[in-house]
Amino acid sequence: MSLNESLDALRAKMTSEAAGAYEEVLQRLDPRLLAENALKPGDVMPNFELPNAEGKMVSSLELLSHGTLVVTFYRGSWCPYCMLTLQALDLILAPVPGQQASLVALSPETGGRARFVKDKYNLRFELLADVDNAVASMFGVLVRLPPLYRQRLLSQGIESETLHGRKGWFIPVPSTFVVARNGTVAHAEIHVDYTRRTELDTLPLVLRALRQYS
Amino acid sequence: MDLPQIGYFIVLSRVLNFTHAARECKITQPALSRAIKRLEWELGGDLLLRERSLTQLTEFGRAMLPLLEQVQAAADVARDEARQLQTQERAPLRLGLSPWLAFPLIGTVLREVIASVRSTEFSVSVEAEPVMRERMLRGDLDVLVGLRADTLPERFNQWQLFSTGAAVFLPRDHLLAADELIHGSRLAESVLLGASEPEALPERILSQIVRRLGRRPSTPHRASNWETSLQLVRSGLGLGLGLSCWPTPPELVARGLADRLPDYEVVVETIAGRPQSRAVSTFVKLARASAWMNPANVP
Repeated sequence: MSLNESLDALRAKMTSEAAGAYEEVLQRLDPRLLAENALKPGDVMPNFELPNAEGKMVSSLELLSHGTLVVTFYRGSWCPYCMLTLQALDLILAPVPGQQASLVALSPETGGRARFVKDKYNLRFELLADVDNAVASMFGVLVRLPPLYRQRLLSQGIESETLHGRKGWFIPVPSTFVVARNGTVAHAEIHVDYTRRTELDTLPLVLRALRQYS
Repeated sequence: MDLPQIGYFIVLSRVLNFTHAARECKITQPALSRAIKRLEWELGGDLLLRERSLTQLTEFGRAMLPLLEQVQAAADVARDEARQLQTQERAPLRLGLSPWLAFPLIGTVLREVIASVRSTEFSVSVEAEPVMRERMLRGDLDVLVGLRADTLPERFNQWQLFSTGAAVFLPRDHLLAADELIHGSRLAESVLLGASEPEALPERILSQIVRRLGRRPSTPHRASNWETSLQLVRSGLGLGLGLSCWPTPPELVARGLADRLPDYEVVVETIAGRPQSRAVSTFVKLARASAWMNPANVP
């Protein structure tokens, strides 16, 4: 089953309560504005340095020195759509010797949750803790989860302060950026609708094109 | 939301005047109004009350302000780090540690800070939290790892690392060691070890026990840190009060309390808005990202 088929199947199982919260997200977030605010092809990616799942610091400069960098933001370990996407990305962009592209996935979750996700799904790429959303805000993909959604998570015992060490429910919009070796953004995808990742299938093509021109 | 929008709102919340704020932000007033409107729509509430001559923060605006300031501060730190990445600036890290916290992971985090920021020069102080908070305000310490206090002085940033339960430490062959959980009433008949500082952890646990028992168990002996306290337990001078996250020496056992006491939160603190070296921001990030407890327990 392809990623989008899996996501469709998951969305088909959405309860009416979840659907209300989902509609609110779509209503609240303006895809046009988000695309305007976020990094765009041609922009220079800001450098960053974040802890990985193993408690080591990973720097974007170091990653770029090996080649193309794919930076993907996911909402958190509580988001089943994000978990499916991470697993799909692992297959799409599995580290191949000589491929010269690295993938990092960022979420604001702290307290060892990156390790938990990485181990649970046997992911082979770096999961970074974007502490206080510093990188998401520099990439222009930071949003606040709307009230219905926050309430729904709270009723399941899922709380911002526990997950992020911060109140407020600020999270990144699911998004993926392909950054060329010189630090310039080559490709950007912002998924306001968190249940869909329609364009991810094109990533290998983007990477191949970048390799040809680099 | 984007960082300029957040910045505009922060300026506006300070000057409370659209004309002045627009001038300070170097944008036109209609552009400022549009940016604030967009932020309000996304956050789901009015941030400001706009009256003809008066602009005021709404209750929602007051609630959102510190959260948005934190977003801006985090981005500022990240930008500053990116700048420091290019240089080899001296990176001091003056760390304060609570005398009642024992965690091997601190060593792991410090090792990684040094591996990542080669110019790190660190020092570790172990003193009571109120003393160290004073030192932080004076600029003598950069960061504190300690127990959450009931009240925190202004200007402090605080993040929870983990929370952990109270535990009683006792010799393996002690009568009470057979119980999985110890009832407060049984502690009333034992000698417990207190602490030299009235606000220290064992005293805080004791006051909870006293609240439930209605009287204070005998505490003739006091220690000033967790290691001394456990040493006294080993010498048979009393039962130690501490945290279930402490490493237990082989000749001792740790038991929880049957009368469920509140958990204690371990936090990391810095002074808000103070410029910090890359070693400090790296330490805070690593500390917050780490699984202090068993990762299997992470929800």
